[in-house]
Amino acid sequence: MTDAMMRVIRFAAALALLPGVASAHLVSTGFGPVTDGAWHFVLSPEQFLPMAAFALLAGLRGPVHARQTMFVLPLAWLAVVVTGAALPLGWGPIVMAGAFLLTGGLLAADVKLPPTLVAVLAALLGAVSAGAYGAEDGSILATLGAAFTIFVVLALVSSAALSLRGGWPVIAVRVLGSWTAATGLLLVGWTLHSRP
Amino acid sequence: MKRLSSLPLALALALMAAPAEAHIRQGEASGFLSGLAHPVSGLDHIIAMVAVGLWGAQLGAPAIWLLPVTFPMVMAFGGFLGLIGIPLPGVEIGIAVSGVLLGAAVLLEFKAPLWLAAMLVGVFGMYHGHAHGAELPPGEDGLLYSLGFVLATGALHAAGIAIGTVHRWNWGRLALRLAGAGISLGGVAFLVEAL
Repeated sequence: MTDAMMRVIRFAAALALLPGVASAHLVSTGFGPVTDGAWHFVLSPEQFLPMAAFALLAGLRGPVHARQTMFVLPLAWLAVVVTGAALPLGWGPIVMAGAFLLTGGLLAADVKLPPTLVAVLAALLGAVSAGAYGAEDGSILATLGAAFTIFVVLALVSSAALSLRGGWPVIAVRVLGSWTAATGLLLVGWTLHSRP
Repeated sequence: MKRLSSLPLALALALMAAPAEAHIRQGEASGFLSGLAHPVSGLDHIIAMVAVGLWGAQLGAPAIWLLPVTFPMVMAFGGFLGLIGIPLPGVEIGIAVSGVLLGAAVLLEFKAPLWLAAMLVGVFGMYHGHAHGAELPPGEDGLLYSLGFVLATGALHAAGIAIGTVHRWNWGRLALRLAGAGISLGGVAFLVEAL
């Protein structure tokens, strides 16, 4: 393993440990609503992780899939937040657990999906993610900040996956997919377990 | 610059420090660290998961990566069954037997066909997952707990695979077989306890 890879792993571990307990309150950075919205998305693993897993999946499939995903998913997310549509009360956690399970499962199995289906799934993921959590404070600037961050994260993650040329790096990505799916399955159980 | 590359890790460790509270929260699945600690809380779980990695390393490709991909998902399925209250008979016995058989597979360098290896690991994974799921205390944050839980499980497999890389040397093969014997004996001790 090269020094550069070790640095990336250490930095990723540091970033993964940064989020505290997810709360229903908008992050206040002191840098204005755009930055608040961006950080709210980054510090919300329930939104961030399925999208990152989906970006990896799209990147593994190829440039067409990746380009579609990086535009379709944020636009679908933005459309749902702007229209104020939301999932029925209590459905958010179970739907997002399903999103973890589906995106992780597809990534672990390295399923060869056609571009159209990837676009449809990207739109669905963006829509349910927005319907489950949205932008929290309703500010248009915070919403735009979050949507732009989603676009950037999808672009970075999918391009990183695109650069992989098989072998161990792809296997490592598939292992990440299996961990995402396993987390989703546990979350489904957890959600059902917590219901009265 | 090498020192600088350790900065994010040091920062992460500093941020992991929990605020001091007047009351100790016992038995709560309260977050990432709680989930991370759960799979390493029992030696019976640890030896079996490391054995999966060791056996995968002995079997080589594709088992070396297929087993760690399938195990977390099957284990999570067992955890799901435990969480929703579906019973699985003889869980403790199953966990102990997993140590005995996986250790024996490493000891004997058992070249099982891929389907058999995946099935064995899958069945045992379900027992381990069920035990964890059924033991879960009431929690605050299911997502962070689940993430920690899955990461710790994966890390144990990765440790097994990393140790298993010594398989390329003669002394390494012998050391792995001895480790397999130790795991199997540990499984026997847990089996006696379970019975």
